[in-house]
Amino acid sequence: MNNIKPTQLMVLGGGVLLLIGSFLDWFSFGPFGANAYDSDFFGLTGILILLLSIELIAVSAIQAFAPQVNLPEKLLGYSLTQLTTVVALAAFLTAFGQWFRSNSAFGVFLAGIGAGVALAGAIWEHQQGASATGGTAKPTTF
Amino acid sequence: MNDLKPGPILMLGGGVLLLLSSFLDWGPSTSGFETDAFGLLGIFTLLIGIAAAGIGGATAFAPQVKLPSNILGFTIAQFVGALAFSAFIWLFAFQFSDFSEIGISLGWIGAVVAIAGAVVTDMQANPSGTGSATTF
Repeated sequence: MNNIKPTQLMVLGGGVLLLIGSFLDWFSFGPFGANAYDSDFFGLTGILILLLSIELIAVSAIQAFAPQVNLPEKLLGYSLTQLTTVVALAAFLTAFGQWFRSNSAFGVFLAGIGAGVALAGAIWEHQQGASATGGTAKPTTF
Repeated sequence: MNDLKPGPILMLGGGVLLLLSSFLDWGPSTSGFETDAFGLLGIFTLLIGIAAAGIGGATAFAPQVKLPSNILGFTIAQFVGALAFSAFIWLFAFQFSDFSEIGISLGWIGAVVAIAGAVVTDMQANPSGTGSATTF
């Protein structure tokens, strides 16, 4: 428990905020409101945000509280930290981009903030890992 | 021209599709740039399309152009893949809404093509960087 990094807590907390935000209203007009799971308005946005937030929460929780669990080191050339960054970036851009729709409601703002916190934590974690190993990812030769 | 590789070409093609899709209808008579309906997502799609097409085009046809080798710890192909994945999430999600039009469909297809190009490019550049066996 003493080895929990603040970056892992940022990703975990951000993922939880993202998850909670997805259940709150993303759109409101008078008495009417719709959350991200209203597929008439948002299609699969809610379900995809749910999956992204589960990835953020699960990976960060395992890394923080169950380090004995071996997670895959790489997937499609991305390290696990890079994948977490990619997932957080996707969630952040999806939610933040919709802040500027007309009649945006609290849920989309909370989701964007949560995803932003998770993204900052993932980037920070990635930078820490890179500096600990003496450098960042290998340059690509085309 | 004989050294053309599929990865950068896919990134270029996917980027062009993304770029074009942002100008087409995402909803009834509504392009991706209608901020009341789609916020900044249309602008993000345009910018990601420009980035993917530019990087793919420069890699394929102008190898003398020096691109940054590392952006926030990502190789440039991985960075394109990350951006295209983001675009895929919101475009594919909106495909299933009540109002989706051709721009949405073209957009997520372009995003998939760009992601494939980024993965192929990165794996060709770092063949040892593919997934290793996982022990649970």
